[in-house]
Amino acid sequence: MLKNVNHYYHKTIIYTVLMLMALPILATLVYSFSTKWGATILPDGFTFKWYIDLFGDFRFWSAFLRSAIVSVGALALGLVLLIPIILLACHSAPILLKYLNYIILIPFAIPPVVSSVGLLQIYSDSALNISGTAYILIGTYFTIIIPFIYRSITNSLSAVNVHDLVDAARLLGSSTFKAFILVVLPNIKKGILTAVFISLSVLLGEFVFANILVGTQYETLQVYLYSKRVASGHFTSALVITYFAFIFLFTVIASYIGTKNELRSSKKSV
Amino acid sequence: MSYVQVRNLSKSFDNNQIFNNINFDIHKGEFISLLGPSGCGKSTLLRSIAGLHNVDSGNVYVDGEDITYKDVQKRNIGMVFQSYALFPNLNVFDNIAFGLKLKKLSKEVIRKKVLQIIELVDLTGKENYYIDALSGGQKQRVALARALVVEPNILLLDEPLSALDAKIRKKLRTMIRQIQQELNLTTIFVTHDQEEAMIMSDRIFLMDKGNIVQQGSPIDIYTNPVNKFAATFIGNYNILKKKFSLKYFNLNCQTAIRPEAITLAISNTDVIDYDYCLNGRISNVQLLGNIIRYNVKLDDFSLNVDELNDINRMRFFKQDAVKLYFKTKDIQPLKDTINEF
Repeated sequence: MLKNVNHYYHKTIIYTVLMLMALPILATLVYSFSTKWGATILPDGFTFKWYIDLFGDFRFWSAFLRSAIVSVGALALGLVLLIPIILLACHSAPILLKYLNYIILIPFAIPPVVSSVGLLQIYSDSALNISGTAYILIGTYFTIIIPFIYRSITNSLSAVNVHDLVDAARLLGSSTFKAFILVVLPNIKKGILTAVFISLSVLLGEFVFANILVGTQYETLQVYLYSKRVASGHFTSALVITYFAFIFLFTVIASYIGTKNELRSSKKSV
Repeated sequence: MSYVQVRNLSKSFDNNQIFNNINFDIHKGEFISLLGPSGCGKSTLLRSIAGLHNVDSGNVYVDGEDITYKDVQKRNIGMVFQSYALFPNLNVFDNIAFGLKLKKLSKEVIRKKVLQIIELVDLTGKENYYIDALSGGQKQRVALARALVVEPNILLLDEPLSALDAKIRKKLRTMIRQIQQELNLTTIFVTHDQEEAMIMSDRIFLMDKGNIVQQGSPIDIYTNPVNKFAATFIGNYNILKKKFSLKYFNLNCQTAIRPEAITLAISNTDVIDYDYCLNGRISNVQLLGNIIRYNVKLDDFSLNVDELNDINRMRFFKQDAVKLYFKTKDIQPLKDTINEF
């Protein structure tokens, strides 16, 4: 009996908190479909107009594409540079992991406004003139996602005995490089996917660096959203909901892949 | 000529000498155990032979070829790890086929060889199972099959049974020995379990602090320990201090006596063949299954005496006054220095 009471009590708290968190999103969703929502509890009517306007706007698709390009570019750079470093540190020089643990905190420690001003100063006078281009954003985004990539992959590696796996593969005739590709990478796939989805979610929603470093010269999704803030609340709500839908989709895919991996390892293959 | 020759092999990590000036020979098809306590350097020695550690000096020869600086992947050495080191992303078949695929053999040949070896290690029907779905014993058999299927020149076993429960361990050690004899495969087995080493090996190399302190057949190692370490590590020897050895057996060194080599009796009429007789009193009796262990208190020290738990034998009880009978050949003088065989 007491167990049931506790059960309901816990459920009530959890659902209340979830409702509170979901309420602004639900309100935004309803607002994005409403014709007009002013002094009444419910909207005057519902319409797809704002979504039709949004998806019909070439600037939206361009901004989305730009966001995707810089995010994927930064992510690719991050994965290509960081995975070998983490694997080598883990396999051959574990002491480096201690220093890497500190280095990855730097993006969190320095506020975006401070680092973006620094970056602008460096690159405005530099021979490498990348201010206002996608390149500076890719470089900056790379630094932002370092902690996410590092943490996801090292967590994944902690469940794998890298040393013995590589040694076993080498004894069976594989080179060290091939051993990493054939044996280690497939076993940290989950960590890599987690890094990909978290990083993409963060980068697609990034505004401060994009606005200060490139602004409208290379308009990303969040800069586009910012420029549309005065247009119509319904329109920007449709934009925010579209953005949320993408992030949600990423999360569902990541979760599905993770669950699939776990199921596969606990059952025999067919 | 020996099949494997290890000559003056030394290895240190950051000024810490792991093993020093190791020399031994192994014949083709021999099963050798490197036996010793944790940290004695046996696993590092094994990994150095495999090429997974660079050595500071010395050489390793296999079939007359110096492989000391040969690439790991070209040595054709099979190894089974304590952690299994199986590839979790691959199923049983693909784990075993891994080495064969790297050799670029045809699919037909790979399939035939893998299925043969799966049958040998008694894993038929488990080909499609992923590693996480197997028990510890099955994992270790996959690891063994993976190492064997590439037909290695030498098989190295790095404490392969230590993570398994007692029942599986007993079953697997018999299986490993049978397969090794069937394939006539030169094998080096690392263990800290003296029973395992005794049962499985043709010869045992007993290691302590980076040195081989004694090598020989299991019976030789067991009956003739060269020093205190060997006597205490192998079996449950009674070690007598120098002063007691001198007082009772006229030997001016430490001595070791096997508990089962001492005969207990109430009076000397029961024992006809002995060289020394001492008086004592039973202070403790332990039943160890097929053995009864008596702890006998003498004037200056205590001794353990093991007797077969046989219903027809005389039983002794706590506080019984007894006589202990010894034969000279069972009193083993111990050398104090290492590296003397």
